[in-house]
Amino acid sequence: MSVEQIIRAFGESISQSIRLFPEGTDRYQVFTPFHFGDGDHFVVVLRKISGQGWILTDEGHTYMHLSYDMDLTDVARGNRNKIIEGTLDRYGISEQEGQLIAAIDSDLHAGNYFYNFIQCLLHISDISYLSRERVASTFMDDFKEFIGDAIPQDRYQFDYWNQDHDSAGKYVVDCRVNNMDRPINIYAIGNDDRCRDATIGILQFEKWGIPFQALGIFEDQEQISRKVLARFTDVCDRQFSSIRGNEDRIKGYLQGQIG
Amino acid sequence: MRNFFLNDIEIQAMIQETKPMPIPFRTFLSGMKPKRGRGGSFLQISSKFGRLSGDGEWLIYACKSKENAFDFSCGLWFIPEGQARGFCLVRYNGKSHQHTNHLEGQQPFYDFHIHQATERYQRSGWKNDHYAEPTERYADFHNAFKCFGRDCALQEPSGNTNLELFE
Repeated sequence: MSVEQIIRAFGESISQSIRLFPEGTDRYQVFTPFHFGDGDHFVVVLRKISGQGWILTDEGHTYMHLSYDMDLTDVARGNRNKIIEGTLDRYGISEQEGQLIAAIDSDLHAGNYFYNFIQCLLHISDISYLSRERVASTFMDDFKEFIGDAIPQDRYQFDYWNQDHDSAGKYVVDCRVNNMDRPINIYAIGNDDRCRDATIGILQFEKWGIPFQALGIFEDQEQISRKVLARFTDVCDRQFSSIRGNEDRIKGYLQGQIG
Repeated sequence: MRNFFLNDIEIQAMIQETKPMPIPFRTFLSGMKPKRGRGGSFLQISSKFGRLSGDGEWLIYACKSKENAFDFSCGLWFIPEGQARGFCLVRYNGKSHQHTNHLEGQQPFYDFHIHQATERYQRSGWKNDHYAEPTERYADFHNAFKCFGRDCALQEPSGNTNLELFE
């Protein structure tokens, strides 16, 4: 088989898999082979907007599809938001109330607009598959955002350490809730190392004789190895296995403690 | 989700298991609303509640596009004890996109369709609920929800399971 035949076969295969399906006035579904991990294809609609010309849009479906498996507030902030904003910027896609839109400004380059639009959808749909390392880096963002929503600003301090006993800041508490007889030391735990550090930190505070309560909030408690978790459980007053799914419980607990 | 697996018999049993919702059907659906920002183009609502056996929770989620009346979904997730993420058992989708069942090597179809979790897709590395079949049982969101509610044995707090009454 010659390379020319291969290129022709590629072209024929790709062009056959891209079809326009008319649906309404000046509106076409663009059928493509690109899809989410559940077999549902991307929604790509070619539509003519009065006074503006042709656009490609997903009509908001991409984020709606992501919402099946994740809370969209998770993509509205922190590193996930930065990834999406970077993707939109790189491919020249605009976003209006959750709809992804590409204006086709030139007939000659319609293929390029289409290509960029698909690239954008592919990258955004991948948000739900972020690697463990990437997701781990967003846990602290999520944790801080959650604390900010749950507790009045004057009642907490991130990255606290006790100046009297620990001038070098070796035993840092992720969040300290103050103005209480027994302030709450909150540890945000994303992995075994953080869990071990939290255990040591709690023991050190006990050794110093400082009144406090220890609260552990895990990214996913199931991911912590048993022995590490067991040692932490022995010293921690209260734990939540994750933020997601426990938002109301954690807020209720914190608000009950701070009064 | 870590190492949670259901065989086809278990999946079917869980789908058919009676599910006592904490609120009436009408209240659930009337609570659908958009979220700000990226959720602004569709209405959504979810309800999480305990299983009768006490082992894990159910999550029901419904959404529908503000742009396209045929773009909607309502589905059932099972959340095992102690886990943060759910296992999608079924999802009733509208007709806004094609679907391909990749393990079956089929051509894409464009129709209202129902996803269901299967053993084979769990083993394959695709999403649990990848497999879907086209359906003629509904052609709009409300009828999709009725089919979903009947198939998944949703029950109002009053004990009512008749979804014809909620409209």
